[in-house]
Amino acid sequence: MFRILLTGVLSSLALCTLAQVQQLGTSVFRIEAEVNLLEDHFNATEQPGQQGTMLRNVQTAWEKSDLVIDYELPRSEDEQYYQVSLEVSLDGNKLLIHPDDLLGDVGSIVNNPVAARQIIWTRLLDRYGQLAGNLSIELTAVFWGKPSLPFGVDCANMPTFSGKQKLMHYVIAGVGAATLGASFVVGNEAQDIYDNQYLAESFEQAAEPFYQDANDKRHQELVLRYAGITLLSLDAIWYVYRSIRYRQKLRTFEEFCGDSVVRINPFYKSNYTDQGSQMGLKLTYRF
Amino acid sequence: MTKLIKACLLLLCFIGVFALSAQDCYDDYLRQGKQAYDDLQFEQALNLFNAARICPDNLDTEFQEVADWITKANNGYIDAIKAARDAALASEERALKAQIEAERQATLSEARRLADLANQELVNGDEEEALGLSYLALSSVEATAIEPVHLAFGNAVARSSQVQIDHEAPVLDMGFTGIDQIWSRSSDGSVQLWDPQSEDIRTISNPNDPAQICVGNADRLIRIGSRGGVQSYDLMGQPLKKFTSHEAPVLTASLAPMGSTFATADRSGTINLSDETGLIKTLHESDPVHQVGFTKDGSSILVRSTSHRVRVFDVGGSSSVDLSHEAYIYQVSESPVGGLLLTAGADGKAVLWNQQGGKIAEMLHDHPVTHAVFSPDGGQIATADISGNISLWDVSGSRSKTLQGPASKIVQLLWAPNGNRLTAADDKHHVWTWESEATPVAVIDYHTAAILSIAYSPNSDLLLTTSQDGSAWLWNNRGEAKMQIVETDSPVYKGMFSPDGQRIVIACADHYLLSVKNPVIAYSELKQSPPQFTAEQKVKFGLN
Repeated sequence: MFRILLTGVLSSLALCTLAQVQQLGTSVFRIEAEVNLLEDHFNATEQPGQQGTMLRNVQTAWEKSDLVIDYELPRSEDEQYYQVSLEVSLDGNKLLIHPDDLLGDVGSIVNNPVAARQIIWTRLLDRYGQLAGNLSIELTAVFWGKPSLPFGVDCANMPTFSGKQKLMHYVIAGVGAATLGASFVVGNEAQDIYDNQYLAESFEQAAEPFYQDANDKRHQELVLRYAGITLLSLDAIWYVYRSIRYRQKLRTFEEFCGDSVVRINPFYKSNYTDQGSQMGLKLTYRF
Repeated sequence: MTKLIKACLLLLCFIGVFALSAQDCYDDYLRQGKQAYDDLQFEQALNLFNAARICPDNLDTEFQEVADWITKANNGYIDAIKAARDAALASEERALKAQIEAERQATLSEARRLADLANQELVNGDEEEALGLSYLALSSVEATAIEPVHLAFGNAVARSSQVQIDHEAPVLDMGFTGIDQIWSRSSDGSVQLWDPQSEDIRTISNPNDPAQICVGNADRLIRIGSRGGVQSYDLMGQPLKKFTSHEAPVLTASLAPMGSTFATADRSGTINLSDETGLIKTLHESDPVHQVGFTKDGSSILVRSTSHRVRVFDVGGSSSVDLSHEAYIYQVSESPVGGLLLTAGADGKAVLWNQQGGKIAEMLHDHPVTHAVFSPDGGQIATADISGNISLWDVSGSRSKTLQGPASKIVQLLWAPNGNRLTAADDKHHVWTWESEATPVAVIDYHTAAILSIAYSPNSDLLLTTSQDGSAWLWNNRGEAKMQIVETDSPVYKGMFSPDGQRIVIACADHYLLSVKNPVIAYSELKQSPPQFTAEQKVKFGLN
């Protein structure tokens, strides 16, 4: 049980750390070319509608038996990087590119300070012998990094709405309920005075003080009742508002600061078909 | 007169009837005698033959014939006994053969059973038991080529002897510095030096200039970074000297066979020749240099660029000679015995040159020649073109043979170290092997993706193949599987035997280098001290 719990917690922590860096965007640029490299023939056709994406000004050229791809990437900030990769097929058949044959700006490009980049795909004739046909090149750039945090989000402090914070609401609700209860007591007293003392007197002058007394208490009852209702209402509205805000903040926190939700809750399940019931702890973690 | 004629006719009839009845006598007795002889009634046959002998008017030939039969009948019992003995012996021989075959089949069945058990133990993770069981299986059928049994043993050896050296990125290249020490380079630019004897691992890394190329010999290691930096290290991984950097990406490097001289060449055509004292000289080519190499005696350097020529520079002096083709040159190599150079060109020619640049012979193909390799004794040349045509030539340039088999581009062409075998890998993932005939002796068609490397064991008995399909296999000369070294989802870029043939090392894109023992060596060692089984294990595996 302990091992499962520990494994779960560790996995969550690892995921939490990994989740800090997110894929912020992807850009794919395709180039089609008719090639016959033994005859120095390379005729690239740019695909329409691809400019304006993250990969810009992509140019290809056949230089001294190598294929040279120039491209531009937007500048990146600290803790952001691009993952640039190349996939090539000849007449629809994917070519294996040996990693040693790709020189220049391919793979991880960290902290991109300049816009212009270049990939040289070399040793083509050594590797493929001839390379003639329709060459399809797919240049992909994936942008990774920590997203900018919205105002007020602090990854160091996870939002909470704890029992301690809720205690004030319970106290106010208690005071409101007590006030409301007191209003009923005072109201009953006013009714008693009116029924048993004011109506029992035969002379108006003797009954007048009881009437005043009952009337005063009725006023007190109304004041207490409205005060209690107001307290309870305001407390409920405030509580609901804080709960909604808490959930919103928690969602934002999980979105930008990683999902580190590991919960251990009491678990109880009564079993109606068999004798007995199940009880224990439930571990919940979300990937 | 008439009476006389009648009397003569009557006499003739009498004589004829008598003669006919005499012939019947002989034939009849002889036939009956033969029948009795065949029925092994030799006494009766003897009587009948004697009766035939005394039939009237027997001819000489008939006398001789019946005399022979009488002799045979006299020897009848002896011959019958001999025949019976021969039959019994033949039956015994057949029974013995049947028994041997039955025992052989039983042995084979038992070997297969043990091999299956070994495979099961491998699945269960008990490599020691798997090795013991597979050894038992193999030792019982040692002389018989039963692929599953050999493979079970090979796999048990691979699993029980494997040593894994981890990298943090795909391992792209490797090599041996000496007998045992191995260097490996991964795509993150780090280099590891590993000594299997001491299990010492040294890591060389420079995040500012990740290694792009690495070359080593028994003395030192040269590391060239992707930013052009060149640095030498000793075999303990300690830096020795920093050399003049290249301005352009370095594409190739080579260490001289002896001494500390090495050459590096880049995409701009600059070739730097250095030794332990520093830069000796800089040479220039007009185009990117794809291959540099030293001649056997270290006196010249071969430079193959994209400019349709190979330049042979004199290391000590300033002269050079050009070996020119009319199109791209795929390969240049020197004869193992020295003196001759061989180039393979896209102009459909393989050309043999002397070191002064004189053309000795042209070997013509109908398509671009991508491979041209000398046999280990330098007496033969194998050439392959882009359509899969492979030819053998003598060193005068006469075609001696055209090999049959491949019909697509050859990606690797390799002679066995003993020169008795030629192996080619094509781009349809097949590996072909030829011996003395034009038809292949073995075709390996297991791999499902590109063959990335092939290598022979030093004694030429085993062939190693690695592939993009994530597997590395060991095969015998008949193309039968001896060991599956690894099976992953990522390419296995390179595989090699150690120079002493003891171990096999492969470089995996799964971020590790794997070293396993040669199964032939492992078998010899186990023969010296066979694995022992406990009583409990014997019961468990049904061993006698």
